[in-house]
Amino acid sequence: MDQTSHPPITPCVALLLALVYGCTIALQTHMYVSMSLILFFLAWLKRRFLLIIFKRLVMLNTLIVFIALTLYWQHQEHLAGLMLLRSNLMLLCILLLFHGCNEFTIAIAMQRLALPHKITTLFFFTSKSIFLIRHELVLFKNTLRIRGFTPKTDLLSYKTLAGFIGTLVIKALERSVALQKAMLLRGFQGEIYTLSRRQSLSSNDAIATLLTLISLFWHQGYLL
Amino acid sequence: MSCSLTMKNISAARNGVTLYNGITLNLSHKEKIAIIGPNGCGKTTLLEMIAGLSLPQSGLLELFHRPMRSLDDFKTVRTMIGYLFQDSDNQFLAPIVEDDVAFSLLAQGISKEEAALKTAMMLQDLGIAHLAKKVVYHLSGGEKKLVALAGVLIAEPKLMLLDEPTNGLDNAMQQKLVAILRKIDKSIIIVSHHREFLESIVDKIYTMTQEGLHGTFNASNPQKSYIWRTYDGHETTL
Ligand SMILES: Nc1ncnc2c1ncn2[C@@H]1O[C@H](COP(=O)(O)OP(=O)(O)OP(=O)(O)O)[C@@H](O)[C@H]1O
Ligand SMILES: [Mg+2]
Repeated sequence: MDQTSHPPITPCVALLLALVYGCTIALQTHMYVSMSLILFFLAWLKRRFLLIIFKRLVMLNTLIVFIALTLYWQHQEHLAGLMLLRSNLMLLCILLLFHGCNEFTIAIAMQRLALPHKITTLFFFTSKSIFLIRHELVLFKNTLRIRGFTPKTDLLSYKTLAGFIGTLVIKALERSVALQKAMLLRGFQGEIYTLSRRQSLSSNDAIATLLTLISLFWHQGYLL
Repeated sequence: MSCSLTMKNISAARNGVTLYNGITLNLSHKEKIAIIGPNGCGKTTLLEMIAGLSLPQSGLLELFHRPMRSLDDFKTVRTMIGYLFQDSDNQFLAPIVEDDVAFSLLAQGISKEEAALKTAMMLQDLGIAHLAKKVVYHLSGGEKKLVALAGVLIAEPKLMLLDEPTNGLDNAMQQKLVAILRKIDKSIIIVSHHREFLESIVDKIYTMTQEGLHGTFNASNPQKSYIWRTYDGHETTL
């Protein structure tokens, strides 16, 4: 993956839009069709990745649907629908805005928005650790495959799995120790840096901002 | 002669097992030495003690004439020490190559423009300019090593600790590394299993055993012996 191509929406703007959209949607008691206006624009910008983004949305929905169903069975139909719609609008907005941005880009954007360094570095190193742990997971799966392991319901399978989880914990711990060492040795001052220049605002940013505001305040097409 | 590093009777243990007793080592200003020894004998542990990542069990450690008694003492010498990890993955603090290489410079408060220029030059020198915008986790093992090395070299530390710098490098790259390390006018300690590589760079090779370090002068480096004979504070190249 190359960093040279800029994301269609400037990360700083994307962060602000996600915040404004998410917070406002979360407080709504009625839903309107017009609220999805911004999503159509973002979907058009990310049209090449829509399939992946929708797959993610479906995965994230498993828990949401479960909660909505629980509410539905408790005869809180309106609340169930509201929750389902609200969380999906918010999730889709965030997925569309940040698809293709790595954690570093987002962390730098947070820093440029003058968020405290503690928060941005915490965000960055946490997501980096998650990335590394996921990497270990892939490696382990490959090792199992190469060494001819087929999971069964026998003791060996459970032992292997338990061993893997233990290894993962130890590796995560080792990684964090190594990270601390690297920070010490390389003069980490509680801040992260980039050489890339601040991305200038584009027409996409302006359109997205305008559409977000329209989506939030122009209520058309009552849903529930 | 002024010393970058003095170690007297250093002993170290891991998990209660003593690795060695009584390591004694003097590293003069701008001297280049190598440490070799079997796997698990404690070479990395020794470098970590010099870099102030852990403390020896006993003994005296002095860096740039300052005694290092607690990990806090290392704060004053931190920017003077460069360390290349045995596993380069552990070294990276930023995910993009150029950002990671520039990290130490930016952390020292050097302007972005200057840092960018120096980074570009460093990447050029190592022949990895085409990697500048790449994500570090997607590089090959050897490429990672070179990027990590660039991040160490760019800070121009007075004392460089290199833990297996040739791991994963091809022959051409090893030759290049030899040329670079030879040109550098700093104190360097290299840990490696690669004798031929070491012999073309260092002044002295130490073998690590449980009893301590045994040093032998490296006679197989004609250029080096020439520099020795004419050594008068300025380096003369042939
Ligand atoms: N974090 C740790 N916890 C416990 N024991 C450790 C740890 N790190 C290293 N050791 C042990 O300390 C000993 C010395 O390790 P060290 O990494 O210094 O060896 P080394 O000489 O660098 O070996 P190699 O040539 O393989 O890199 C080894 O026996 C190792 O098992
Ligand atoms: Mg080692």
